[in-house]
Amino acid sequence: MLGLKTEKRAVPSPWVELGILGLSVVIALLVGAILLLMQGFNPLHTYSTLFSGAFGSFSALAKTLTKTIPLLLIGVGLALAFKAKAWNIGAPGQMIIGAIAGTGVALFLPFNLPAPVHVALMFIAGFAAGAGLAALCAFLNCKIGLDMVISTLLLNYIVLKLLWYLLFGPWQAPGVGFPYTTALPDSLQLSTIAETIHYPTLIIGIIAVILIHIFVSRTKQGYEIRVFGENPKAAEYAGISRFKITMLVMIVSGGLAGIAGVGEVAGVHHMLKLGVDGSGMAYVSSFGYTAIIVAWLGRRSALGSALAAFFIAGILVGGYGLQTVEGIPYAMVSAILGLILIGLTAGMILTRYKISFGRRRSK
Amino acid sequence: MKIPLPGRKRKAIVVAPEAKIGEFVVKMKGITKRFPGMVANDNIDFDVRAGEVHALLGENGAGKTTLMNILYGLYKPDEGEIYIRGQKVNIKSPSDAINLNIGMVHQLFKQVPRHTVAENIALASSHDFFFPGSKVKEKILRISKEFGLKVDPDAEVWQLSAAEQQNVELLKVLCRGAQILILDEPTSTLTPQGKRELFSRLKEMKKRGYAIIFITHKLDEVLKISDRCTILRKGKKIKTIPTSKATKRSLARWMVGREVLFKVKKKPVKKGKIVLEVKKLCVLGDRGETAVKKVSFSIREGEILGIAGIGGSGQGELVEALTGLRKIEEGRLILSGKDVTNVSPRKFVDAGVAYVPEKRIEVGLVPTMSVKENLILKDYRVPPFSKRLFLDRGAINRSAKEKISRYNVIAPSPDTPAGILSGGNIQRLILARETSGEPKLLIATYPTYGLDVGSVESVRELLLKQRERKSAILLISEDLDEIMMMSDRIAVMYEGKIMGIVDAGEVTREEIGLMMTGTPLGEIS
Amino acid sequence: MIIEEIIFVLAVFALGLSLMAFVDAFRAKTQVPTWLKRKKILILIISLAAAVLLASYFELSGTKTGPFLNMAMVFATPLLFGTLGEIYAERSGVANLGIEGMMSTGAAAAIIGAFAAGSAWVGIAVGMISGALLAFVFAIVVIHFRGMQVPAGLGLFIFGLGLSGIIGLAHTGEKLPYVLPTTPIPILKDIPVLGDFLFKHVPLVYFALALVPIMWFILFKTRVGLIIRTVGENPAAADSAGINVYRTRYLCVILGGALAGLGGAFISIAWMGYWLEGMTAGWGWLVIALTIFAIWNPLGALFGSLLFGGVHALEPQLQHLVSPYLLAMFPYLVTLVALIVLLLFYRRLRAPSALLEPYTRE
Repeated sequence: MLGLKTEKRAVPSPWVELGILGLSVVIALLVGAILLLMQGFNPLHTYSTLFSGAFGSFSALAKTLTKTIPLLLIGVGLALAFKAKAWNIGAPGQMIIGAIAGTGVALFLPFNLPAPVHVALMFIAGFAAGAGLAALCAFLNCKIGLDMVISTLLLNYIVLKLLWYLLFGPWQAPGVGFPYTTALPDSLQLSTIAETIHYPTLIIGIIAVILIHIFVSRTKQGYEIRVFGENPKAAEYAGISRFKITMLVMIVSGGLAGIAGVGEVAGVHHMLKLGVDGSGMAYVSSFGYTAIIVAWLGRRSALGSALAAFFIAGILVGGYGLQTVEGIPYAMVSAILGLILIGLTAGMILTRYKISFGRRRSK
Repeated sequence: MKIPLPGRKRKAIVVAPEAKIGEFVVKMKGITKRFPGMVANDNIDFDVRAGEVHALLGENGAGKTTLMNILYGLYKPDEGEIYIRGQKVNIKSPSDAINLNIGMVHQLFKQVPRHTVAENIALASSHDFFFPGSKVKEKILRISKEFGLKVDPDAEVWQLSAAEQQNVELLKVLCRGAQILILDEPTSTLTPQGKRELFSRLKEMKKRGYAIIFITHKLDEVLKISDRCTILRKGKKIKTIPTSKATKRSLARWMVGREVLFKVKKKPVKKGKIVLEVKKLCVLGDRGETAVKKVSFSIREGEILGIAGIGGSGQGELVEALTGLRKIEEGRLILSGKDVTNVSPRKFVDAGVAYVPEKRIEVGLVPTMSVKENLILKDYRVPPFSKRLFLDRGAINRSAKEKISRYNVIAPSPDTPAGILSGGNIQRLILARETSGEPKLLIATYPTYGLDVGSVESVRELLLKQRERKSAILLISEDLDEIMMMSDRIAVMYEGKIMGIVDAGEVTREEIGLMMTGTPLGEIS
Repeated sequence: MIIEEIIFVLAVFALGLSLMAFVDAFRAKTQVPTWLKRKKILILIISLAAAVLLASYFELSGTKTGPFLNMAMVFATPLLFGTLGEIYAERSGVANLGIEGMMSTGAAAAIIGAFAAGSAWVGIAVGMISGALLAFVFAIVVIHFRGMQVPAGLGLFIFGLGLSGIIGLAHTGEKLPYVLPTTPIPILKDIPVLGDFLFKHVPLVYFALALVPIMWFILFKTRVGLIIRTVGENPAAADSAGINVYRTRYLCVILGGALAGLGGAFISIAWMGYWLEGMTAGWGWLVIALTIFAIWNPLGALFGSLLFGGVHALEPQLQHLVSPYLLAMFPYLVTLVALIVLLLFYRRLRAPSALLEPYTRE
């Protein structure tokens, strides 16, 4: 290695991990600044607009909190899946299919149910749909060895096209000519604070975060998941079932993504439309992909996940401001998020090795 | 064709004129190498003459492999110098070593199973751009004939036996023009016959002026094949002595630093009921071949059944079948009267089967998790470690502290990641975990492999203690001495079949050796 | 015309046969038990039936097979570039999941380069270089820093898409006035059906086709390929033989990036003629799926890309039968199903043994 001395670290230090987190964000912002300069924008001005657009006013905070909700739900589910080394990249698709299922229940359920029950059914349908899709991938992985990265990803696109089909076809609101469904009846729209923060979903999210945190650190299954993620062979030898673990984490992460989808439909847009997955400005900025970064940032603790979700939501919201006010393409947001993830990955080596700049000649 | 290759600076294969017998071809002076927390080599001087076999003796962890890795360019020394044929050299990587005609045959073969023999050898020894496999075949056939190493260049490596794979490793090195050979524990996978063959090859090479460095921890081999012997202990050179002047006892004493007990104190134990019954078991290997052919045996409480056999005779597959990790195609497995054929690994664990795996870190440990979390790997489902859903952290902590002290696992704290413990402590951790539950059946595979003498003794003591506590123990080891010392009865496997089961006290090494190479018990007169 | 249909059927049949031969040759080298003859015949029958079905459909709907095949080849080309590159990267032990990002950036960079230099060819080169640069960054993270390949690749994917959006902004939707010339090959272009299929293309397509046998040959019949394969199977063995494992992996990953960028450049310059954000539509992920489907063999890459290209070219034909939105699912669905089928038949697809593991000389 280039003139660096590396020494295996005896105990992984939590401070180092925090440091890496911070460093990755800083480096991402720096590289972003270079990109901005190259395109003729002023980085300092850009970042301050970003910040104020995200946190600078009451309405900005409200918007940020609104976007935090799906990121939190999906992020904590993905963090769980990643702990078991189950690479669930299919959150976008699982979110959409959840949204579809929820909308279906909202608009087409023939019975006259009291609203809370109906809403609950929507969420359950969303969970089931997302979980089902993810479980399919888990099943294919365990039984025939199909990589989850590939199956979840291809399904993302398949489900997306399904959404297009429904919105331009059978589910299109009559007479409109746009890809929306008819609006959800008022009773089924989620109550909100400050007009956008659909707190029922938020509550589900917070409960999910707490439950998952307790689950991972204190239960038998949580222990099994950790063992399996760290060393699958040792897990097999200890009698831990690969199938059960993979299924479990995929069902949970897929289900949570599905719930997030229902939340967006019932709480934000009040109808099913394109962009319900957050991809309004670009496909890759959909919540499902962005949540991957949330999951990595927040993987160590529940509080971490919540903070990470909030922070990243802020970037997403601030990005809109950048586009409308400064003319900076929304793609900038994806670029920064991607850099953060790359930085985190590169930084992981610091948790295992101590690096010092030595006088030794390179190997 | 001179095309820059992704990987190597182009250098022609330079074969030095064969050195005169007796000349010093390798001189290492004052070699020191430090790793975090320890000194692997401490100011070591080491030299080798052409035409000699120089044994490098020491127990595991003494620094022998490190020293040779330095010679081969895999490590850089912190201090010291190396002279090859009188010239000072700076060996920065294996390709430098190869260019100096140094070749190393590692203990764990560095081969690609899917590639052919020719392809594996071509990698190291030919620079042909096109069709590397075919052009090198000629050379392979010539050299293999010269040294008597039988091998089929077009066979794929996974199809070969361990001895043939050993030949491939040797050929790799020879085809590359090596005249200084480093052999790292070359006999660990060989039968007695294979060893004899290897030694006669080495004698051939000696005659031609090759210099051979023979790393081993086996005293008999040192006495049999080497001309000189250097003993390392804990990173320091203790002595270099012409083999003619050494005895087994003196070598052992230098190696360990004290008088070594070659025998272990085994108390007579009354055998109880049959715990494990294996009936005509057939198990398939990874390649679809029958690895275990109609194997039958039984083990009683308080008995150690040792399985002897060269590596690859089916022991690995047998053990996997006995723990639920591999499917049993035919036959039956009965544990304490219950049929457990093809039951899941978890049920074996629940039924009181303990398993000490061959690959400690890969299979038996989660290196990134703490010591205490590793200690509950088998028992976490049952009280006191868990109540219904939740783990009882207090109980886990207490039990960990108790086990650490009882089994003498040296670790900074129960929260230390298990991966940084030394080999001996890892093995004691695993044993602590496996034996503290008073298992009915304990399967120990190569339990003392790679451990320092102190750890070897403590592991063997733990096994014997378990035997006194009436566990049935299945012991698999490549160390014939260990098998003969520890077992009550010995079963010998060859090519998936059991050649014979004998009482340990009533059989000789030669007889076991014969069975290991295919002679069934009935045919030994 | 019936003759065309017959030639088409024969061509597909030949393709099916070569697939079997390819899989057979591969099987001989694997540690998988021999399969029953029934499955081989099944593949033959299926490919024959599919060909006949298609041919009759074309006959009935009046479609010309030649132009259909031509389109299929055009669609297959970017996938072919990407897959060939990723095969080399994965063969050396590194899975680069960021292909979609590299392709997208390649597409955008190519358009920018073309406009800036006034030449389509310069654009292509710029596309390739941009892909290579991104791959280089990825390689540093994954090889030098021993980072986990999956999240690093995902980061590259997200970053690459973002980057392409940023740099492509200025030229969004702008049609490139410089085009790559379609160069039919004389004489060969007049063969019925096959002429349209293979010989009436932009030079990049010929390049892609030529790369297949070349890269196959290099990988399996030369020392360079042996080194790459060893590094991906057992890097310790390669290291011990004096090979620089890191350098090999760097080169393969960068090559993969260059080819991915080239694939993207093909999409924006040769195929569509403009840049639009998101125009790679997830095809980079198809490359990753196809790498497995091709069993890490350049010949398989050709077959997989053509299969996909053919399905995609089929979509316009079926629009009056099925909603175009559902049709859009086809490529992804077919790829998924094809992979599942392959895995059902051949349970133990052996990836390079050291794939996804960073190498450190212990």
